[in-house]
Amino acid sequence: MTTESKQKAYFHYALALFVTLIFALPLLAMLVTSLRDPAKAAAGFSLWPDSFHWQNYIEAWRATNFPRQFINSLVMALGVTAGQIITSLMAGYAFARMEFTGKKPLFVALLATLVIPFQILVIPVFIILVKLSWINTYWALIIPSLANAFGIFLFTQFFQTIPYELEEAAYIDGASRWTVLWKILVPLAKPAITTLFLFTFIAEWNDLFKPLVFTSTKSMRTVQLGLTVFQEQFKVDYALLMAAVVFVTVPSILLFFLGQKQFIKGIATGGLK
Amino acid sequence: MNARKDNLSAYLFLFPALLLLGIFVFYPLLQLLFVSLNEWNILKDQMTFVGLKNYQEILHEESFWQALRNTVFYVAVTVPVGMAVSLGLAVLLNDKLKGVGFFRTAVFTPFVTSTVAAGVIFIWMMDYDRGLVNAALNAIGLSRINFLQSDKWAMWAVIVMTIWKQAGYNMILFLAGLQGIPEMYYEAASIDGARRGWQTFRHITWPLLWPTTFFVLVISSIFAFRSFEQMFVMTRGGPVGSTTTLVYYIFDKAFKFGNMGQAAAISTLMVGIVLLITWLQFRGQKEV
Repeated sequence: MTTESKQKAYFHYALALFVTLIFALPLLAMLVTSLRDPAKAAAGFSLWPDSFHWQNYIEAWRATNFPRQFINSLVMALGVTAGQIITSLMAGYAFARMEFTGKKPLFVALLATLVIPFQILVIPVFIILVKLSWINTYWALIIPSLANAFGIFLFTQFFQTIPYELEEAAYIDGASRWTVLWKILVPLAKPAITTLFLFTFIAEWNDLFKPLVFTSTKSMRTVQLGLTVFQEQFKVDYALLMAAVVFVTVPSILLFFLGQKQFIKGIATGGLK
Repeated sequence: MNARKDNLSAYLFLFPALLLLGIFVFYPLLQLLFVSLNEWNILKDQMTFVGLKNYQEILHEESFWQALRNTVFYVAVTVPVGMAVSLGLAVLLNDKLKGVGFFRTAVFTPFVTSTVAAGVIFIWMMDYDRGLVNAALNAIGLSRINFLQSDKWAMWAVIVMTIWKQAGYNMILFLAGLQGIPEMYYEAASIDGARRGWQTFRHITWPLLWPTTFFVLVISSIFAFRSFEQMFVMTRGGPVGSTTTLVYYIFDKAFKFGNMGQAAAISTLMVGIVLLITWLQFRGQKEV
C-alpha cells in the first residue's frame, strides 16, 4: 500500500470507530449508571463506574410489580408470535402454491394494509373490544394482532423458493395439502419461521401503544407500560431507572444477538422485494 | 404445476388470516368513517348522527393545525436527515473494514431497544443538571438547555432520539442495496480514470442505489407519520403541545376526553393523507 492509501485507511477506521462509539454511548452509559451509587447518579453524570451497586437491580425489580409485568409481556408476545406464525404459514402457502379466484386483488389489498398504521385504527378496534368485553384482558392484547400481512409475504416468498418436486412425491403418495404444508414445507421453512419469530416477538415485547390503550389495571400492565409508570415515580433517581431500563431491554437484545443473522437477513430481503 | 383452480382449499387456508384482518383492519376502516359522522361520547355510549360536524369542528381547532404542523415538521426533518445518516453509516461501515460486524451490531442495537427504554435513556441524557448533553455543553463553555421543558427544543430532542434508534435499520437496507451494485461498474470507472470517492458515488452508487433509497423513503415516512410512543414517553406531547403529533392528538381526543367522533374524524383524515402520500411517492418513483 502507498502511504497515501494507508493514511486513508487509518482515517476510515478512526472515523468508523468514532461514529460507532457515539451510537453505542447511550446504551453504554445506561449500563454504567445502572450500577452507580444512586445518590451519586442523582448528583451528576459520569461515564466512569465509581462502584458496583448490584442492589439497584433488586430494588428496581421490587419497586413496582415488574415480575407480574414480565409475565404479562411474555404472554402477549408469545401468544401473538405463535398465532402470527400459524396464520401466516397457512396464507403464505395458499398464495405460493394455489390458484384461486381473486388471488391478485387480495394480495394487493393485503399489501395496502401495511401502510395503514394500527394507531389510526385504534378507535374502531377499541369499540370492537369493548363490545366483546375484552378490554383489560389478554384477549385484547393478543387477538387483534394475530394476523399480519408482513408474515404472509415472508412465507409466500419463502415457499416460492422451495422446489415443487418434494411436494409432488407426497401428493402421489396420496398426501393432502394440509399434510404437505405441516410435514414437508414447515420443517424446510425453519429459517423464515425464525425470522418471523424474532421480528414479532421483539415488536410485541417492545410495544407500548396496545397495552396503554387496551388495559386499565395495574395487574394487566406490560413491562413497557410499567416502565413509563416507573419513570414517572422515580423521575431523577437515574441509577434505579437505568437498572429498570436494562432488565426491560435485555430480552429483546438477547434474542437479537442470538438470531442476529436471521434478523438482518429478514430486513434485507423484505426490503428488496 | 398445479395450475388448476382450487378455490375451496385455498380459501380454507386463507380463512384464519382473512377473518382476523377482516375484523381488525378492513371492518375498522369502514367503521372509522361511520364513527366520524356521529357524535359519540364513550362514557354515555350514545351515538347521534351529525354528518360532517366533527370535521368542521376539528378544522376550526387551532390545536388540530398545531398537531398537523408538528407532524409535518417532524416527518420533514426525521426522514431526510435519518436517511442521510444511515446512508453515511452504510458507506462508512462497508465490507472492507476490519471488524465491521462489531461496528454494525453497535449501531443496530438501538433499533431492538424499545421506544420506552430509549425514551427514558434520552430523558436522562438531556436532563438539565445530570445529563450527558448538558455536561458536554457546559464543558465547552455553552449554557445549559432545558431540552424537554422547552417548546423550542423538545421536538428536536425527540427527533434526535428517533434518528439514533432508527439509523441501524435503514443502514441494513442501504447495505443490502450497496451490495447489489456490481463491482464491475466501479472497475470500469477506475479504468476511465475516475477516483473512488465523491465522483463514483454521484455517478454510479447514487443512481444504482435509487430503488433502495426509494424503499427507505417510503418506509421511513410511514414510520415517522405514525409516531406517538417517543412523544408519550419523553414529553407527553408538551410543552404546550409542541410535540403533539396527529396520532397523539387522536389518543388525547379519544382516551383523555372520550370524544370518539372527533378522534375518528382525525383518523379518517390521516388514512386519506397516508394513501395520498403513498400514491404520490409511487407515482414519483415511476417518473424517475
